[in-house]
Amino acid sequence: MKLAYLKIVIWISVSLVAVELALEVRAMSRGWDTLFFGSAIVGERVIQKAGGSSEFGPTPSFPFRSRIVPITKSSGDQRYWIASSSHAEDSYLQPTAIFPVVLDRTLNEEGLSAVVLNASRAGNDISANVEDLKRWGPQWNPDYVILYQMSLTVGSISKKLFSGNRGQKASLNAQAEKTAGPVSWVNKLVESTTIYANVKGQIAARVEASRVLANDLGIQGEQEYAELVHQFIRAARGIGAAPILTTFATSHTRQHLGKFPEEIALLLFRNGAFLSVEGWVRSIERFNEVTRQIAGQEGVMLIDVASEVSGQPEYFRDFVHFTPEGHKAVARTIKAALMRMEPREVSIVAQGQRPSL
Amino acid sequence: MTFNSTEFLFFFPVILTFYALAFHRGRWREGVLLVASYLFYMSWNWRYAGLLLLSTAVDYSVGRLIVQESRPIVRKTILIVSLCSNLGMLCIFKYYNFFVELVGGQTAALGLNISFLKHELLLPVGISFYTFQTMSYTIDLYRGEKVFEKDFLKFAVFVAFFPQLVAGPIVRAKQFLPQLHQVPDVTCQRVQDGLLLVFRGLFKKVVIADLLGLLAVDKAFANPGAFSSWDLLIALYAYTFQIYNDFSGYSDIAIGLARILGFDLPQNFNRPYLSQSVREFWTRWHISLSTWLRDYLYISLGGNRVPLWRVRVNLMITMLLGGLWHGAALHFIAWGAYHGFLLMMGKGKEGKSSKSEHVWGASVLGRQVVCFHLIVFGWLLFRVQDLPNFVHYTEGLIKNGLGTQFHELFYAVLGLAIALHVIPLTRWAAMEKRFLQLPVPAQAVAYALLLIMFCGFTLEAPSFIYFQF
Repeated sequence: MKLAYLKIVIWISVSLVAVELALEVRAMSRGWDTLFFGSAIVGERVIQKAGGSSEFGPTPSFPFRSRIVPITKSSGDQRYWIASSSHAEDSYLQPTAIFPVVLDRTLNEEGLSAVVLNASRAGNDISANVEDLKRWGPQWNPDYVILYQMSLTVGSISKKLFSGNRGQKASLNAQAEKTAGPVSWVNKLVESTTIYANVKGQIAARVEASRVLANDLGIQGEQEYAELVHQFIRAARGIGAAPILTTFATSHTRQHLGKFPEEIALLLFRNGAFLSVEGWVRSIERFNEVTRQIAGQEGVMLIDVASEVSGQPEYFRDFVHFTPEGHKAVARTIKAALMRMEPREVSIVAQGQRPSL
Repeated sequence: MTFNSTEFLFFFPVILTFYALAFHRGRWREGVLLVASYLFYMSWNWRYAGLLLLSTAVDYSVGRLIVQESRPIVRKTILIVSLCSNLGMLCIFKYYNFFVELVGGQTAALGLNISFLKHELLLPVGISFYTFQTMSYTIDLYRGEKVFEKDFLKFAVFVAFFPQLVAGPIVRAKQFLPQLHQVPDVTCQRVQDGLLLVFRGLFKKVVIADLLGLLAVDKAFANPGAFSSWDLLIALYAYTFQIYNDFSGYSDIAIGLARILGFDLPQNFNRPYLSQSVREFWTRWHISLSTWLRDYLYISLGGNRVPLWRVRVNLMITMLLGGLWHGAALHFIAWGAYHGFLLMMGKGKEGKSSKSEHVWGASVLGRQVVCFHLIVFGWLLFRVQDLPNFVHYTEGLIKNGLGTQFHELFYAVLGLAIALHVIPLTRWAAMEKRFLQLPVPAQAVAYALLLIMFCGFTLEAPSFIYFQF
C-alpha cells in the first residue's frame, strides 16, 4: 500500500478546505468571526471581543455584562438583577447598547442611585437563571430580580415533551447520553466552521421545518413553565430580593402568522424543531398569560414588555433578539414600570405583595 | 463514535495514515488495526473494552484447547464451557433484566411476593455481533474445520475489526482469518471502490433512513392516536425502508471501509423487498445472521434431515431465538414467532412456485407484493415499543380515517427509497462505473459536497438502529 493510494482522501480534504475558505471570506465581509481568519475586521462584535471598554464586565471578579461596581453595596443603592439569556447578554452588540446597561444609565439619569447587574448568559434557561441566582445572588445582594426569559424555556419544554418517546432511537440515544463525556474537540471544531453554520441555517433548518410539528405545548407545557417561574420566585425571595416578572416580546405575533418571514422561521428551526411557527407564537402567548396569572397569585410585580415591544419587527434582528432600538424600547418599558413604583412599595414588593402599577 | 459522526470523519483518515505507514510490516499493520478497533470501541464506553478482550481471550484459549484435545467428550466439554461463557455474558447484559421482569410479573400474578435484583449495566454496543462471531469460531473448530488461529494478535483483530465490530456483518473465521495471513489487497481502484460503498451507505443512512425517521416514523409510532390511518400506513411503509436503509447502509459502510483497508467482508443484503417468499427474504436480509442461525442453530437442531413436522418446529425455534437475538422484549419474540410461522407455512411449497415464476411475470410481481406486505406487517411488531403500542397502532390503522400531516419532503424521500430499491442492479453498476471513471479530483469534489449535504441533513447523527442489538 502506498500513501499515493489515498490521494482521493487528500483531494476530499482539499475540497472541503476550499469550500470553507470561500464561505469564510463571505462571512468575513459580513462581520462574522471565522475559524481560519479569527475575528472579523469589521462589525460590532469585534469591539466586544476585544474587551470593549474597561467600564463593563464580565471580568474574573465581576461576572456580569454590565457596569462594573464593587461587590459591597453603597448605602442608598438599589440593585436590579437581570436574569435572562442572550436577549440581554447580546454579545453581538457593544455593552452600551444592551437593555440592562441602557436601563442602568437612564435610571441614574433620573437621579436614582441604581445599579443594574446583568446576570444574563447566552444559553441560560430559567433553571440556569435560578442556579446563577443561588450562586452569586447572596454575594451581590440585589434588591430586585427581574426575569426576562422564555424562548429557551419553550425550546427545552417542547424537547422534553415531544422527544421523550422515540422508541428504539430514544433508548439508544439515552444510552449514548449516559456514556457520553463532554463534547469532543472534533465536534467543537466542526461547529466552528462556516460550512457548519451555513448548513445548519440553510439545510438543517429546512429539514427540521418539514417534521410533523406541534401547534402548542398544552396544559402540561404550561404547568412545567409555571413550576419554573415559581422556582425563580422562591430563589429570589430566598436571597431576600423582590422578584419581578416580565412578559416576553417577539418580533411577530398571532396577527403575522399568515405572512411570517421565512428567514425568521428558519432561525427558529435551526436548533431542532418540535413546534411549528404557530406553536411558537401560541406558546409564548400562553406562557405570557401564565406569567401574568402567577404575578397576580404571588403578589409579584409584573412588567408587560410584550405589550410595549411585541409585533414591531424593527425592534428585532430575529424572532427574539433585539436591535439597538429594541434594547432601548425594552429599557424604556422596564424603567417606566420601576419609576412608577412608590418608594414605600419597595418594601411591599420585598414582602411578597403586589404593588399597583 | 459512529460512522456518521464528525469524530469518525477525523478518526478514519488518521487511522488510514498510520495503517499506510505500517502496511509493509505485518505485525505493525495488525497492531494498528487492533489499536484502531479498540479505540473505536472505547469511544462508546471504555469500560466494555475489557469485556471484548475477555471474550477474545476466552475463545482464543478455548480454540487452542479444542485443537490440542482429541477426546470427543473433553472437546465437547470445552465447547460447552465456551458457549456458556459467551451466552452467559450475553444473558447477563442483554436478557437478565427482561427475564427478571417476566418472572417477577408471573410470581406477582400468582400472589407470591418475591423480589429479584435488577442490574443497571448498559448493554455493551455490538455484544450480540461479536459474541456470535467468536462462538462460530469455536463451533467451527469443534466441527473440525481448519480455522484455528495460533496468533493471538491476528485472532484479536478478527474479533475486534472495527468496520464490522458493532453491527456486523457477522464474519466467519474462515472468511476473515486467511486474509490476515496475506498482505491485504490495497490498490488505488479498491480504495475508490471502497469509498464509493462508504458514501452509498452514508447516503442510505443519512438521507433516507434518518429523514424517514425524523419526518414521520418516530412521531407516528410514539403517538399513533394523533395520526390518520393513511399516515400510520405510510409511516409503516416508511419504517420498512428506514430499517433497510439504516442497516444496509451500515453494512455498505462497513464493507467499504474494510475494502479500503484491503479486506473483503461478505455481502449482508441483497434487495430483500423484491423477495417472492419469506424464505427467500431470509436469504436476502441480514444474510450473515440468517446463515449463522442456519449453520449453527437450525442445522444443529436437525435441519431438513428430519420429518416435516420436526423441520417446522426447528424453523420456529430458530426464528424465535432470532427474534430474541434482536432484543429482550416480547415484541421481538412475537416478530420472530411471526416469521417462524410464515416459514413453517411455506415449508414444503417451495418447489411448486418455482416453475410458474419464469413463465408468468405477473405472478412474480404478485408474489413480491404479497411477500412484501407480509414483511411490512412483521416490521410493525418489530418497531412498536411494546405489545400495547402494537394494539394501539393497529387500531389506528383501521379507525383513524384519512388525511395526512406529513410534509412533501417526506413523500419525496420515501419515493426515492422505493426507487433505489427497485432500480436494476445493472443500471446501478453502470452508473457507478461511469462515476469511477471520472478523474480523482472530480470524484473528490462530489464526495466533499455530499459530506456537506449529509452534515445538513442530520446534525444530530442519530445512531444506527442495529447498534442496540
